[in-house]
Amino acid sequence: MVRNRIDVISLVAGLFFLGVAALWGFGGAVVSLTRGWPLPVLLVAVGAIGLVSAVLSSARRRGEDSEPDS
Amino acid sequence: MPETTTPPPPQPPAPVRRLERSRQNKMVAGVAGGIAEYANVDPLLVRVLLAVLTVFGGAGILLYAIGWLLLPAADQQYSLAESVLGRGRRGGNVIEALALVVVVCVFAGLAFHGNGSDLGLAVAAVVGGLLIYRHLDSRGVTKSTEDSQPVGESSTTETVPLLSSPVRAPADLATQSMEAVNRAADRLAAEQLAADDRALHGPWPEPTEPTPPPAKPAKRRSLLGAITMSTLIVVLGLLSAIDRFTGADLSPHTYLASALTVVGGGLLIGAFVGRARWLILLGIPLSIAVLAASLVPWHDHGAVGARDSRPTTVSDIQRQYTVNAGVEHLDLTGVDFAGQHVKTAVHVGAGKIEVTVPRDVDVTVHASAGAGQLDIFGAEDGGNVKQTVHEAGPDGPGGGTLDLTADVGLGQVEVHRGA
Repeated sequence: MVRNRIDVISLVAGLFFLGVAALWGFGGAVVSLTRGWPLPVLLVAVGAIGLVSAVLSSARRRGEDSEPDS
Repeated sequence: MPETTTPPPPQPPAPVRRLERSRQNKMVAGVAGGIAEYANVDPLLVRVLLAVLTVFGGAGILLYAIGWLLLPAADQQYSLAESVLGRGRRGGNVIEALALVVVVCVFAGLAFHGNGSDLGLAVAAVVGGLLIYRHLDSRGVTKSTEDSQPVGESSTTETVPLLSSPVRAPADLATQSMEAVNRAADRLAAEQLAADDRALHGPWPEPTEPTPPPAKPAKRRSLLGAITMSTLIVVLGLLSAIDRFTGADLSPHTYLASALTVVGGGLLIGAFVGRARWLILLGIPLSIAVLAASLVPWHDHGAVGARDSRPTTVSDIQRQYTVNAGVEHLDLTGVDFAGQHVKTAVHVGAGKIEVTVPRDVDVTVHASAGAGQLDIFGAEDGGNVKQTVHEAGPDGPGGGTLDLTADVGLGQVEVHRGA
């Protein structure tokens, strides 16, 4: 199996889109976009996941051989 | 091996004309010129068309920015959006791309906010079409190289140098590409003839010996994008089947959210297996649409379109007027309210509520907009607003009372007095 790095950009975008779909698409107008916790929580959560995976994948990359990337 | 170390397979110049940003006919970024060259019309025509579209609603600028993002420049293999999203040369101009995305969002927002559901749809169609065109285009070209080069023959030398030196006289490039195309076509024709001959007269090839698959390393493109798109289309098809045959009245939210779920799921898978970053381009407008739609309550069996209601007596007035998308114009000036107390409500999902009340009636208005504007007897307010206004009219109290509720999800509420 070849080494497979997590693509953080796809991860963050995918999670954000799924969150928007879940909260405001299927929730219809039940979950308000303009008030309450959903929007801030979604943004903070997705952003934090992105940060963590970026840091992790960078650490893993440094741990492995320094094969030129990009 | 990481995805980014291998450059995409070199492509020969496209045998057919490519929709690209022109270098010769260039005023800003060559979008209009490129379209004109592709369609073989005068660039002026395209520019005038774009200018007209700009004046009427701003679609011209929107389309131009989209073209700038999605069409490759004449001397580039990939468009700005593609190179920023990681295809081809790394990191195109990120600032330029971001600026264009902002322009697209702003004008798409304007188009959506104005009267433009048709406009939004047209723009979405154009974006989708361009994406599919670029996708098929690059895929078709790659495939034809693989097909035209039998395994074992190292004829790549004749096409690779063309691309590795991007600055080259166009005439030279054209001649060489024509030669390459002709050679490939001759070879294909010869192979086809030979195959036909074998099929007719034998000896038939061993059935256990299929044509060897094209060399593996050349296949860097991930199938994920194609799989996601196909899933998306199947899901939308199933939803519309459910909508049609089970009597469930599915709201636009369901369609949009399902589409967004498929796109988000594809991206999420792409974070671990395969790559399909370009799905982000699809997810952005979809999530904007989902967020906008979430502001719009969807009423089962509500009307769509413009409606004029002009009751003439108190008993003619319905308790409730409901429009999902469109305009509800309620003209109450023909009703004599004297000594009466009337209560009615108007709900519009996306669009406009316009209520005209008689001069003398005492009115209490409860108006709200999820996102939009209120204009209640000249008092204007905008955003996410709620207002209750009591107004007795120029004649003071008396002349009957009207209790009016007017709620719009996305759009405008206007209440004013008639003559």
